[in-house]
Formats: sequence, structure tokens, C-alpha cells
Amino acid sequence: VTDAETRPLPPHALSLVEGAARGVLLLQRCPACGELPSFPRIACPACFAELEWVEASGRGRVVTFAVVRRPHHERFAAHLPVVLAVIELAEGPQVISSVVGDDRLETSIGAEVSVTAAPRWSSLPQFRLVR
Amino acid sequence: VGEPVVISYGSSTYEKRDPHELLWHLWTASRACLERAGIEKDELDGLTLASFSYPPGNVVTLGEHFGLRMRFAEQGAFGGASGVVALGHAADAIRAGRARAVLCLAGDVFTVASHDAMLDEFTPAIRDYLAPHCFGGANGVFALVQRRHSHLYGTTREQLGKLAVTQREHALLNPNALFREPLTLEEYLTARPIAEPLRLYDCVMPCSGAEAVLVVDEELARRTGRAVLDVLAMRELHNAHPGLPSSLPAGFELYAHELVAAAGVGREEIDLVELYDDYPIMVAIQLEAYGFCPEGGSGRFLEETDVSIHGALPVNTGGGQLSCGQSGAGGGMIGVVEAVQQLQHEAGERQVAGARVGLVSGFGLVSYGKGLCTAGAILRRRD
Repeated sequence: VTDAETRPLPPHALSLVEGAARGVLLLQRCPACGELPSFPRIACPACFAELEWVEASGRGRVVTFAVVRRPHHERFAAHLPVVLAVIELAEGPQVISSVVGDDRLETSIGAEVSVTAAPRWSSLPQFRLVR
Repeated sequence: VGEPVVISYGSSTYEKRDPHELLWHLWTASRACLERAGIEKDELDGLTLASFSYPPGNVVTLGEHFGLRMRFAEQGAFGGASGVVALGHAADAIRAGRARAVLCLAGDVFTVASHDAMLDEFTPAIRDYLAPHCFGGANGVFALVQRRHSHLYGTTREQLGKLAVTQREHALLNPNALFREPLTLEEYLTARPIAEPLRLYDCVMPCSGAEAVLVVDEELARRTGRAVLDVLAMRELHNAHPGLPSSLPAGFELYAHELVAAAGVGREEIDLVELYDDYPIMVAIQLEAYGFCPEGGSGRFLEETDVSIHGALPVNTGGGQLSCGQSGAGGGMIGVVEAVQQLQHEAGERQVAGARVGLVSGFGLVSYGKGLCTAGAILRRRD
């Protein structure tokens, strides 16, 4: 992970990158209602309670994906093409991430993916195809 | 206090690069709109503005710059839905006696590069969770939507391409369109891939421009002698589906029935539709959501229906953003301006014969996998 792809996240979201650095997917969970928000929030978007972080399985399936050939910023040029994907996690929520690895262009809808420790180029959790 | 009516419209000259500054675009669109109506600047007592490139300026500082005293002022915070929302809110303010003449403005100065830079930090969720994945801007987000729609319903690029080709035919009749060459289906299908399944002609080109419409009290309208359009209804919905990181469904479907019912017209009375066209797939989704075809049936509908100005349901009759260029927030007003021009029977070569009722739809503020803002309005010419 290079500085160019690393951005400081808000304090309430830091666990996401800490987990990703260890190759695990940390998710927010609402102890009051069980909600699992798709991206980190300051409070539960369902019931407004305080959220806790839990370790997720890191596994999911591709709901849809895009093969990004034209980056919105040249800092990503070395990573093209990028496979951007909506992933439905085993725990239920849908998240948006990227599929990495030399075989990423074999991504298909329904493909099983798993969060990966390496190789990664973003400080956020990234996924690879499960073979 | 009279009923609010729309009586005029104006556009600046669209530019691919930006020799002119934003205020020039906003001024020329405003002046064209006021001159067409025969209304003096100082008769305005309301102003709305949507613009991404104007901050730290906002609607009130624009009023300062233009020398306006405003009883009603509203900044459009709804991205590409801001134009339709402004139309409805301006009408509400006039109906409530809080304003007599409201100019609704939207515009930006963008190049492809400055637009990319804006998208990198467009919303907090994009800045923090999408941009670091190289999401590719809005192109990446709507590629996700199009692939899912094709997977669920079998929608093809040929079907969507027919819409892009038809809109280009409309643009050839629009002097303000930046794309003035015909587009063939073959060119559409084989264009450079941008974010697959999207290729070049699926994606709007950022440009510079501004759009304006004028909503006034009907007594004031009578003096101008202009054809008047009633704003029969407007509905807006933001973050329609919390928790869903996709514009499938997008939110239009939750208010469409209520919008049409509140307008008191049947769908068969709608003579033309101006649907937000950042991508053909979003036009397809709006055709479904507003009930012009069944859910998932837009591909087949586009294949079987003539959506040209001579067809059964004319769509994006000025060429839309896809063929005129996307003037930032102006892209959320271009459909309103086109509908007003058509219903005032001033669209020249591209006039839809006898058009009386038009539906305009806005969509915007792309964030975590979806556009957050949706809005629709129905206008009718008063005879």
C-alpha cells in the first residue's frame, strides 16, 4: 500500500483499515438491533444506537462488477484494469470494494470472493477470487 | 396570490473547454431567459442555484453579484435532481405568496480533468470508500448498475444503443449541442471501453454551460403574453433505499404513481419525457419506474418503441446530456429547459407536434453505489 492510495479516514472508521492491514474484515454491528451498515457510520443507520466492531468471515459473493479501464485519477495507473465490485458478504450487507489478483478479469456475477491480506494496493479491504 | 406558471427558459452557449468563466454562463443563460419573457431583472424576487464549481459562492452571493433582492433563495443540494426540485420549490413559494418571480439557475464550468478531480471527493462516502478503490468516477458506479440490470433482465447494449443513437439524432437539430455528428449503432457498440460494460458513448462528456427557467405568478405572466405552463406536481425523494448500495431500484418508483396522480393526468396524456441521462441505463430505469414499461422491460421497450420526436413516446428531445454535454449541475436543468421550450412550441426543427404535457425527471448526487437524489415533475401547457 503506497501513500498515494492511503487517505485518512474519519475517527469512527479507523478499524476498517486496521483490520484490512491484518487481512481480516472488520464490520460495524449494532448491538441494539443487529444492523450491519454497508460502510462505517457514526451511529446505527437503522436505530441510531452506538455501533461496535466485529470480525466478519471476510467471504462473500459478487453481485455485480465493473472493469474500470479509465481511472478518475492517474495515481491508480499501475493498478489498471480495476475490477470494482458490489459484494454481498456472508453476514448479509452489500459492500463496494475491488477484486485484486492476476486472475481478477475472470470475475463473474455470483463468484465467491474472500478478503485478502496480499497483494493489496488500497488501505481499504480488498478481495480476491476464491478458487 | 396567483398560481405559479413557467413562462421562459434560457441557455448559455455550451463549451467543451472553458474560455468563459462560470458567471458568464450563469449571466447569459439568465439574460436569455429574462429577455425571452420580457421581464426585467429587478422584477425577480426569487433565485435558485445549483452549481458544483461555484463554492465558496452560493445562491445568495450570486444574488449579490447580480444585484438582486431575494425574498426566496434556495441552493440546490441535490446534484442532478436540483433542477426539478427547484422548479417545484419555486412554484410552492409563489403559491404561498412568498415570491412573484423566481429564476431557477443551474450551471458549471468543467473539463474532463476538473470533473475527475471533483468526483475523487464528491461525497464523504466516495472520498473515503470508493475513490481509494479507483472507482473510475460515476462511470464505475453506473457500470455496476448496467451489468446488474443486464444480468437480471437481459438488457443488451444494442437496446441501450438505440436510445443513444436517437438522442444524437435529436442533438443534430439542437444548435447548442456539442455533439453535431450522427452516431451509428456500430460506433456506439465498438467505442473505447471506459468502465465495462460502459463504453465511451454511454458516458456523458463534462462541459461548461448554464440553464435557466423562469417561474412567475400568473398575473405577471399575463402581462408578458407568453404561453404559460402549469407545474401540475413535483415529487422528490432522497436516499430512497437506505442500506442498498445500488441504483437498482433508484427511488423514482416509490413516488411515480403519486406524482402522476397528483398531476391529474394519465400516462397516455404525456406527450414527451425528459429523463436524466447521465447514462442510457438510467434512462431505461426511469422508463420502468415511471410506468412507461414493466420493471425490467426497458430494453425490450427501447427496442420496440420509436422514442424520437416523431415517435410514440419522445424521449430527451434536445439530445439530452449524452449528446449536448453535461454542464455539471446544468445537466439537471437541461431537461426542464427542453420540456419548457417544447411545451411553449418553440423547439423549431425538433418540435414535438402539439405537445401539451411533459414529464421531467432528475437524478443525482452519486455516492456509495447510487445516486442519492430523485425528483420528477409534470408540466402542462395552459391553452
